[in-house]
Amino acid sequence: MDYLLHILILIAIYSILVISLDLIAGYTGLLSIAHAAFYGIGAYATALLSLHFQTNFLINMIFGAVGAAALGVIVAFPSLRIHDDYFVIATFGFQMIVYSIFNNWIGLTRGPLGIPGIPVASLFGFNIDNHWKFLILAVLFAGLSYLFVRKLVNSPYGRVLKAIREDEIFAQSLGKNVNSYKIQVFVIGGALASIAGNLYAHYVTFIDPTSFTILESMSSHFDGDHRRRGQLERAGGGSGGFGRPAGGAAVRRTSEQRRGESATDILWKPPSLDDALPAAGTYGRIQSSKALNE
Amino acid sequence: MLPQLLVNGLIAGGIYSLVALGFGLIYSTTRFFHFAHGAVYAVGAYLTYACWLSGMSLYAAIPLAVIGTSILGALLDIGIYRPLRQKGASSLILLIASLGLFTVIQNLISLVFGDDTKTIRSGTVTEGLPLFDARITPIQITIIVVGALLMLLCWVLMKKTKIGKAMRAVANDPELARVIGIESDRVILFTFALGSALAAVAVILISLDTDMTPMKGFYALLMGVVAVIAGGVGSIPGAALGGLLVGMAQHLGVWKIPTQWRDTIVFVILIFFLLFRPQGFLGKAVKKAAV
Repeated sequence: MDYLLHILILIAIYSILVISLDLIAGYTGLLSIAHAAFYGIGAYATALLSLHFQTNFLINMIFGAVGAAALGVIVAFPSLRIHDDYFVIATFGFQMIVYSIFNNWIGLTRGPLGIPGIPVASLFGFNIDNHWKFLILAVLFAGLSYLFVRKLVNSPYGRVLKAIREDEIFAQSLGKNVNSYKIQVFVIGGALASIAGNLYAHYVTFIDPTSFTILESMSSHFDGDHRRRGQLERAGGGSGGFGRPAGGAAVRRTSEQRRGESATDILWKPPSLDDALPAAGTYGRIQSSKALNE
Repeated sequence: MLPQLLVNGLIAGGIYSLVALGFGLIYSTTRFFHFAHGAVYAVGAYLTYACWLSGMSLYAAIPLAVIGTSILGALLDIGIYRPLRQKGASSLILLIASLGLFTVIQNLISLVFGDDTKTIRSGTVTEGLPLFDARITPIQITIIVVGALLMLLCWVLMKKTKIGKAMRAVANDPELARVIGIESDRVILFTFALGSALAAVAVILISLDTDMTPMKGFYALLMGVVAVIAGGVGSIPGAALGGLLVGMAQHLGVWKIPTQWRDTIVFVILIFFLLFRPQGFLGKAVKKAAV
């Protein structure tokens, strides 16, 4: 039973990660592979603050989010000047730099040894010390991020984001400050991703740099299948739905746990145009037929 | 200390330049980031190793491995990229496909040869030849000489031969190239074969000097990509300069900064170039339309 709860908790945590990436890559069309950097900042902020200053869960979350938001501004900056695959490479550079800080700044992060003994989360004097309680907490935050991002993308603000994805210059010609929107999206998405990192650190109570590699960034893309969002929305006229990000995270977490190997081994097949992944692809097909029928 | 660091930087730079040259040629004709180039690079080393294990002399193993790697590059194009191109895949989809290929090939190497370090060095380790205050081994001299020669050959190929001109035409405008009767698929195929052969030469040279692991390709590729961006896409002297810049930055950097930050320096250079000079030293500025 604990094992099942463990998987459910990881699914909830990764859903936050994928939902936040969906805002950046799926809705605004900024393909970033630096997402694990935000996630890692949340986790490291949590670990260091709670060990050195005995701060509680919510304070860690706030500081992690501020740190990730600051990184978000920096990562967003190249998107103002460069586009498409050059931007992917720039985010790749940021991911590598942040990872090398986690790995090499031994004095602060203990490098490859990782940081053990992170205290369990406590909320208003109430210790979240077993799987059930943590699951409720994680699902609560996953639900909140889902509602938040859904509210955001269905608002006029979200329409601007989609316009930027479809045609940046067109959005600009309508008087929208595209640059400012891009930075805001990275700030919001980065802060959300850091919440996932915070939960992860409090849940596992041990972190090391290997959890925040470039592969984590990329598999978040496969979970979310963001590339399809634009296509689906154009086809159906409606929103691509949030089922897929969470569903993708679920499929990957469970398959990874079951087979005891890296998710990338299973899911990294050369994607064709029709199906990037067998798993997320099937899910996507259901969604796309729904979208087409609407 | 300084002369030795300069020599080391020059050697590393020679290798990165070759990787950057192959990668850059493929990028400029196809306009997507062929990440699997890193895996193709590793295959070059392991093919040599396999031939060498089966009892061939290195003189026979090396050309065979170069040809084999070149064929692999061509097969990747025929088998994966060409069908995707024909379906009208965007450069991002091709990039994701190549990341997938990269992982598959690298894992295949690990499966067949294992993850541990392999070597094709033969003979005893001898002290290098003195050069000013530094030491350099004969194989390291070979790296620099072969690197420079191949750069020159590629430059001649691109400027003077028919296929080189066709490559530049496809790089410049694939539609227009087709209009005047250049078969872009064949040109791209040739580019993949040539680029992969260059990667094989680079990796064999470095494997003669050091050792090989399946992960090696990733690292070399990263440095190659930075070199291409720093040097300017589609420029052969640019690839050479970019490779030298990366090699020198890495090795001169460790003079003052602890070694573990070596790669961080390179990525900082990458972001610097992307932000302030995305076209590189020698590339031409291309501006997306603006309002």
